[in-house]
Parts: sequence; C-alpha cells; structure tokens
Amino acid sequence: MTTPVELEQTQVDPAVDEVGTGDRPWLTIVWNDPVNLMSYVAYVFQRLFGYSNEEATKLMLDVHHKGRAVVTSGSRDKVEIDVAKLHGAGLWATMQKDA
Amino acid sequence: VNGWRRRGGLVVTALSEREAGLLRGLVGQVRDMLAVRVAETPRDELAELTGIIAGPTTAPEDRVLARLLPDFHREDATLSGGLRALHEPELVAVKDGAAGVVLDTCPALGGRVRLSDEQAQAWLSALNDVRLALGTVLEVTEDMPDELPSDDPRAPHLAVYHWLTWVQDSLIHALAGT
Repeated sequence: MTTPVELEQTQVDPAVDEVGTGDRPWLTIVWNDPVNLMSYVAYVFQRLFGYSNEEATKLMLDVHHKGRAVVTSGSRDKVEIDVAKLHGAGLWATMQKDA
Repeated sequence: VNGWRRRGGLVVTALSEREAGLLRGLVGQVRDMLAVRVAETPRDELAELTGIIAGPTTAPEDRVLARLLPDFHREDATLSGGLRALHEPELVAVKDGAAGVVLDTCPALGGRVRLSDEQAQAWLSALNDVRLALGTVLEVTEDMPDELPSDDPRAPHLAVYHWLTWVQDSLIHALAGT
C-alpha cells in the first residue's frame, strides 16, 4: 500500500489574531491542519477562487510553512461566503478584519 | 483499488468488496453524526412558520463535529455564533449531499465506480470529511508515523486513514489532470 505521507503542520501565529478597526477590509484566513492534503488544499483554492495552479500552490505552501495564509479579502459579506465555501470543502478557515 | 483514472468523460476506479464496505461504512457514519447534530438543534415556531431554518449558535461539543463545522472567527464568539446559525444548515446539507452521492455510486459489493465530474467532486468532499473525522479521532499529527506498533489499538485504523489519503490523493490527480 502506498500512501502520501506529507502531512501538514499545525502552527498558530497569535500575531494575526489582532482585529483591526476602521475601513480595513476583511480577510479570509486558511490555517494549517495535520489532515488536509497539500494537493487537496491547492486544488480547492483553484476551484473555489479561480487561482492559477501556480498561485494556488504558492498559497498552499504559505499555509503549510507559515501556518496560515490570507486567501481572499474584501467586504464582510464576501469574506463570510468565502469562509463558508472553505468550510464546505473541509478546510480550516476563519475571517478577521485586516489589522 | 488501483487509483482513479480519466476514461472518456468519466472518472473511474475499481474497489474490492472490502474497500467498498469500509468506505460506505465510514461515509455513513459521518452522515449519521451530522444528522444527530441537526436533530439536536431546537426548532422554534418561527422557523416552522417561515421555513427559514436557523442553525445552532454554538460550536459542537463533539470534537469530530467541531472539526467538520468550524467557527467563523477565532475570538468573536458573537460573530461566530450568528454566522454559524446562518450557514450551518446549508453546510450540513452540502456534506450530507456529498455523502449521499458516494452511497449512491459506490457499489456495496465492490466493483467499478464510474463518476461524472460533479459526482467526483462530491466524492472528493466526502472522502475529505471522512479523513477529517478519522484524523481527529486518531489525533493525527504532522509527525505521525506511517505505521504504529502492532500492539497500538489505533494501528489498524491508521492503516485505513492512510488508505483513504491515498484514494483521495489519486482522485485529486485524476480530476486536476496532473
């Protein structure tokens, strides 16, 4: 039996938890988790948000290496929908206001 | 299972009877857990009248359900609660639908599986949900070994987890054409 064993790290960076105020946009953050496959995360970014393979792979690697990445931004309503879509795909995503 | 391939307009594989039974059982279990979550959500009279179903405002206590249905915000519990009430019913419906597609298209006794792209997307989501559930229970970590010592009670379950990982990865490559 052959299995991909590239499992992602779980890291939490408290620095991005600060919630800003004012007219800053909302951000969609995807967090690293030990279950989701790197191939799957990159594929989901392409499918949900129309990123190229290259862009999606870069974002996926940011999640993998830095523990999280901003994948979309905009109005609260837009980001809320994006987070819901990511939850639908099983990714660990949250929204926050740009600090 | 020999992995997924594109054949004509379809995405195809073959499962043994044991593999099909295992997969159907796991997908069914996740579906049952989601159904319990829905059943535990109180229905108010207003929702009955309007047909607009509000989900619960609090995260599931069960760790598997909590992983399948995460919070929207890390600190703002009020915001998270409101958005959960708004989005959770649809999220559960989407996951339930994906599980249903697998149960409809995975032959109980094994054999060929032939999927349209839309069905393959449902399989991808359902496989991921099953891996999230199993990975949560097994407390999978980044440095999880390929195999656990044979006297570890988790050993056979970890083998199933790795098998699901392989099946999912193969499906991604078939769909992405990589």
